[in-house]
Amino acid sequence: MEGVILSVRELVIAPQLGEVALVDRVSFDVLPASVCALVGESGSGKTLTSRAVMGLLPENLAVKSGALGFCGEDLLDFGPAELRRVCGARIGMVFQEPMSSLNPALTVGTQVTEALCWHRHMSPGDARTAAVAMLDAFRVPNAATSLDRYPHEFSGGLRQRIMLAAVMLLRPKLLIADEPTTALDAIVQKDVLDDMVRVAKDMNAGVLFVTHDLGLVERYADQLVVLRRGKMEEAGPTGELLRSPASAYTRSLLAAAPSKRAPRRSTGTGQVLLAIDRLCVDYTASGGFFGARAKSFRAVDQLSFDVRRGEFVGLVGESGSGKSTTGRAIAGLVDVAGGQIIFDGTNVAGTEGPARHQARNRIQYVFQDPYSSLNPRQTIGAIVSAGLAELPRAARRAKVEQLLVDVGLEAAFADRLPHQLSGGQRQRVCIARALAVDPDLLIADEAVAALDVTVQAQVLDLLAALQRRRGFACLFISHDLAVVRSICDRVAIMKNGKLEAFDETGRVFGASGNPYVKKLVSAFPTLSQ
Amino acid sequence: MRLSLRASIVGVLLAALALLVLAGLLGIGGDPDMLDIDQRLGVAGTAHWLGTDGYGRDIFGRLAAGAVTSAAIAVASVLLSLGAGMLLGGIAGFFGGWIDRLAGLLIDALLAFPGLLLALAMSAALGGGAASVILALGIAQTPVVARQFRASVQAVREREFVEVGRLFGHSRWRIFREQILPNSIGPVIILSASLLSGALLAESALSFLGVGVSPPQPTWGNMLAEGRRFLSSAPWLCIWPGLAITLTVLAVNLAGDLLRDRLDPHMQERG
Repeated sequence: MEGVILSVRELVIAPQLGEVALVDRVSFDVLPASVCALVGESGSGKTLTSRAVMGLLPENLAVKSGALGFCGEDLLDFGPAELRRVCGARIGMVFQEPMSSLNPALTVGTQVTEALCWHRHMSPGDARTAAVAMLDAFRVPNAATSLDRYPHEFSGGLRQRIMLAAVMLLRPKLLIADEPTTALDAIVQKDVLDDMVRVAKDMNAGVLFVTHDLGLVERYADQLVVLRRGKMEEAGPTGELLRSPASAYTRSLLAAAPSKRAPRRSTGTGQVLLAIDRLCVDYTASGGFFGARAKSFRAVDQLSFDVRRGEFVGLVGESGSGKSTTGRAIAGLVDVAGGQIIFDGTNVAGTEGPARHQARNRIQYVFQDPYSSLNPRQTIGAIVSAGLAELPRAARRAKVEQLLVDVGLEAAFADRLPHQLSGGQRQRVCIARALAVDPDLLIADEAVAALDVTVQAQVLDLLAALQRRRGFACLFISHDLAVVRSICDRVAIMKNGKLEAFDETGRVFGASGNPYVKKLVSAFPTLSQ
Repeated sequence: MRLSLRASIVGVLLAALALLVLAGLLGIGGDPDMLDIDQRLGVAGTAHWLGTDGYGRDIFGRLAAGAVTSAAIAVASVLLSLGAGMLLGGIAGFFGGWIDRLAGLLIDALLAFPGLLLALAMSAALGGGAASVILALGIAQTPVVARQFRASVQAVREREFVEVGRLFGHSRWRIFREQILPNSIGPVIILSASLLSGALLAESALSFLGVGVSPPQPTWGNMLAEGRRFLSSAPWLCIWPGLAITLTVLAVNLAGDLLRDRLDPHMQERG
C-alpha cells in the first residue's frame, strides 16, 4: 500500500519449539505522521509485537508466520546485517527505563552522536551541530553544554528526552515507543510525550506507541489496536473506537479506567481519628566511622492534615514528594524529626515507646509491591496470621480462611506459597493480612500501582466494599489522580515534602487556586468519553 | 542429564567415604597402630589391602582411622565457624549502625590474615591435638561466614515483608527468626560445602606441617608427611592418602554445587 510505513499482517509469534502462539494473527498499519497505539494488559503481547518489528525477540521465541512490511519491503526477509542497517537508521526505538538505556560511563554527546557518525558517516563536528539542534527540539536546557555531561547528571524526564533526541536524530521513518513514560511523573510524562509526538509528526514519521494507559491513548493516538492474550480484540481510529467499542473486553477496559469509575460513597463520621500536626521527617545518610558529619535531608516538612473515622483520604504527589515517608512515619516505620502524630487522642510519633506499641495493630500498611511484601518462604496462611498470635491454632486457621474468602480468594490458598499467586492475588493477601487485626486505619501505599487496570479496578472495589463492612479509615497514598479521585473523600497534595493543598476531593480537582495543583490535574490523562 | 551424572558421582564418592569412616569406627581392615617391622613398606595384598607403611602399619587401617579423625575435625570446625560466624554476621547485619561498624572492623581484621596462616599460628600456639586444630580452623573460617551472612541479612532486612513484622509489633528475635533467617541462610548453607572442603585441606596441611594432629594418631595429612620420606621407593604411602583427600574434596565441592542448584529460588519456581 502506498504511504504506509509499517504494515503488520497476520503476525504469529510462538516459542521456537512450541505450538501455543503468544501473538496470534495480529494485523495493523502505521501511517506517516500519525500515532498508532498498541494497548493491552500484561501478557497481551504488545511488547512482543513491537520487538518483532525490530528483530529483538527473546532467543526462545520466533515469528512463525505473517508479514512485517516496512516501506514496501518485508522485514522478515532481511538477514541480521540488513536488519542492523535498517534498525536505528530507519526504525528507532525507545524503552521504558531511561535509567538503563543510556551508558553511565559515556558522555551524552558521545552516545547521541555515535549513531549519526555510524549510519550517516557524518564528521563529529557536523554530528554535534545536528545533536544540539535536536536536543533543542526536545527542549533539553543548555543543549550545547549538556553534550559534555554524563547521564547521571540528568533527571529521568531529561534522560528520556535525550534518548528520544538520539533516536530522532537519524530521522527514522518509524519510532517505536514502548511505555516510554511509565517510569515518569504525570507532569513530566505529558511534556515528554507532547514533544515526542510533535517532533515525530514534523518529520513525517510514524509512531508505534505501546502502552497500558487508555488516557494517554486518547490524548495522543490516531489509531488504536487493542490486544488481549496475544489476540486482536479490535482496531480502528481512536476517537470512534473509544466512543463505541465493539468488543466486550474493550468496554471492560474502559469501565475499569479509574477516571470512569463511579466515586465511592463517603462513610466518614466526622470524628477525627488521626491528626498530623507539623510533622517533619529527616533522612540521614549514615556518618563515617571516624565521626564524619552525617548529612541529612528533610523529606517531610511541617506537614499537617487529618483523617476522620471511616474516611478515605488521598495523599498525592510526584516521586520524591515525601508521601510514602509520611505514611511510613504514621505507621511507626521511620523516626520523626518534629511534630506530632495524634492517633485516637494519643501522640504516637516515633518508632518506639508505649503509645506506639498500643497503636501497633490498629494501624496497618499495604505496600506497593506485592512481590517484596510477602515472605517467599512462608505459606499464605502463615503470612495472613502474622498478627493473630493470641488465637489458638484452629481458630487462627478458621479466621485466616474466612479472611481469604473475604478478599475474594479461596480458603485453600492458605497452603500455597507467594510465588504461586498472581500480582492481584498477592495484593489481596496483603490486604487480608492487614485486616486480620481489625485496624482502625489502613495505609495503602500505591497499593494498586503495580496492577493491570482491570485487576486494579477489582482491588479498588474490594477495598471499598471491605471498608463499608468494617468501617476502617484509609490513607490512600498514590501518584494516580484518577484513582484518588474515584475513591477518596478528601485529598492532600504534597510537593517537595510540603503540603500544597488539603480539601474535599471535588474542590481540589474542581477549582483549586493553587497553580501546582492545577498543573498536576491538567497533566493527568483522563478519558473524556 | 548432566545433573543426574553429577549427582551419581557425588553419591558414589560420598558413599565410599562413609564406608571408609565406618570401617575406621569399627576397626575393620587392620589395627592402625600395630607395628609389623618385618612387613615394612609392604605392597598391597590380602594381608594388607593397601600395603604397609615405614613402620609396617596397615595403610588401609590408618586411612580408615584417619578418615574418622579428618572428617570429625572438618565437620566440627565448620560447625564452629558457622555458629560463630552467623552470630557475628547476624548481629552486625540485623542491628546495623555502630554495632555493624564494630563487627565489620573485626571481620576485616580477621580476613586480613591468610586463613591457613592464621590457623597455623593458632594451632602452634595452642599446642597441637585435634581440639586445637578444630578451634584454629573454626576461628580462621569464622570471618568468611560472618561476611556472607551479614550481607544476606542486610539485603533481606530492607525487604518490605520484614517491616510487616514491625507493624504487628513482633519482637526483634521473632522478626529475625521468621522473616530474615529463612531468606538469608541459603548462601551460608552453600558456603558451608566449600568451607568443609577447605577445612579438610587445611587440616591435612596442618598435620602435614606437623602442627596439627601429631603421630601416631593417623590423619590423612600426617600420613602424607610420613610417606614423603619413601616417595621414590614406596609411592603408595602418599598416593592413598592423597587420593583420599582429593576425592573427598571433589565430592564435597560437587555436593555444594548440587545444593546451590537446589536452593536457588529460580530453580524452585520452575519445579
